[in-house]
Amino acid sequence: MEIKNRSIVIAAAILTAFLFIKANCTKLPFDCAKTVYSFQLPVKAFPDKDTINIGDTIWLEINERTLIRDGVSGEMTDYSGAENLGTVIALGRYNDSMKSWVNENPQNFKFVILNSHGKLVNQTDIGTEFTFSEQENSFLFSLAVIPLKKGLFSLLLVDARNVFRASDKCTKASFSIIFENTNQHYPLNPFYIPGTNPRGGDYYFYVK
Amino acid sequence: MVDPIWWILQRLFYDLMDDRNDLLALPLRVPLNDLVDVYTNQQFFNALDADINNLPAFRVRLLNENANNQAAGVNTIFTFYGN
Repeated sequence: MEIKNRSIVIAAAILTAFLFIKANCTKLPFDCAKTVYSFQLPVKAFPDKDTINIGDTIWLEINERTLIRDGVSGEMTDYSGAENLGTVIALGRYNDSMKSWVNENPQNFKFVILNSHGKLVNQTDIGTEFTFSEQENSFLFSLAVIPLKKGLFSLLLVDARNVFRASDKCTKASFSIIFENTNQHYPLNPFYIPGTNPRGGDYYFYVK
Repeated sequence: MVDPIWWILQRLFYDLMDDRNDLLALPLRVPLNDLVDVYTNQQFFNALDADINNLPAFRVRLLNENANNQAAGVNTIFTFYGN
């Protein structure tokens, strides 16, 4: 009986030691769910027109150093080698009769990537997924968005979550994609409250 | 990336319960036309039976046990989250 108890204690000790070493050195799968870094990635849109014609182009551009400030620690952090950094561009159309926004099929828009700054990886009825490229210590994304239909539209660059690096697939980062130095034409949105100053990755435009 | 633990997204449950349509938020963050606001944690637990091992099956069981309440909106939310 004593031998059996001793065996159980030894087995438990070995198992505990293994889990401890595994969790500290390589991290167990459940550790990987944790997001460690929180970054902001500025995007610009131009030209600054709230109304364009069918076939006109809205340019979207991201050009940000890979040495970037982490919102959690406040420290500058080199996040080069991000393997899955990108966004989903989701389009909405204001439905006048419903007095509401509805999802717009991306097939009603044409997307053109410039200078290989980005890659289209998937398209569904809800949105178009892109990854950004990385060159000379910068994250780069250059996209032409060309509407093929009339209406009042919203364009959203969805935040990037669970981003990891090739060298470390476990330590995750989130990237909030927010327009900077860009008039996002919020007053075009019927739900805009005058005097408020929302700030996000959304952009509004009218196509005539 | 493969999820080794098969978590169900917390956000899926949240969007089945909350009364906010994400598509109308300013700034816009999540492009989800969320028209579902009636489900409860109790109903989620009731639908998580032993034979439910994937999200499409969970969606069907949840709707069956709740008289297909707001079914179109429920389907939209599950589709949005990839199921």
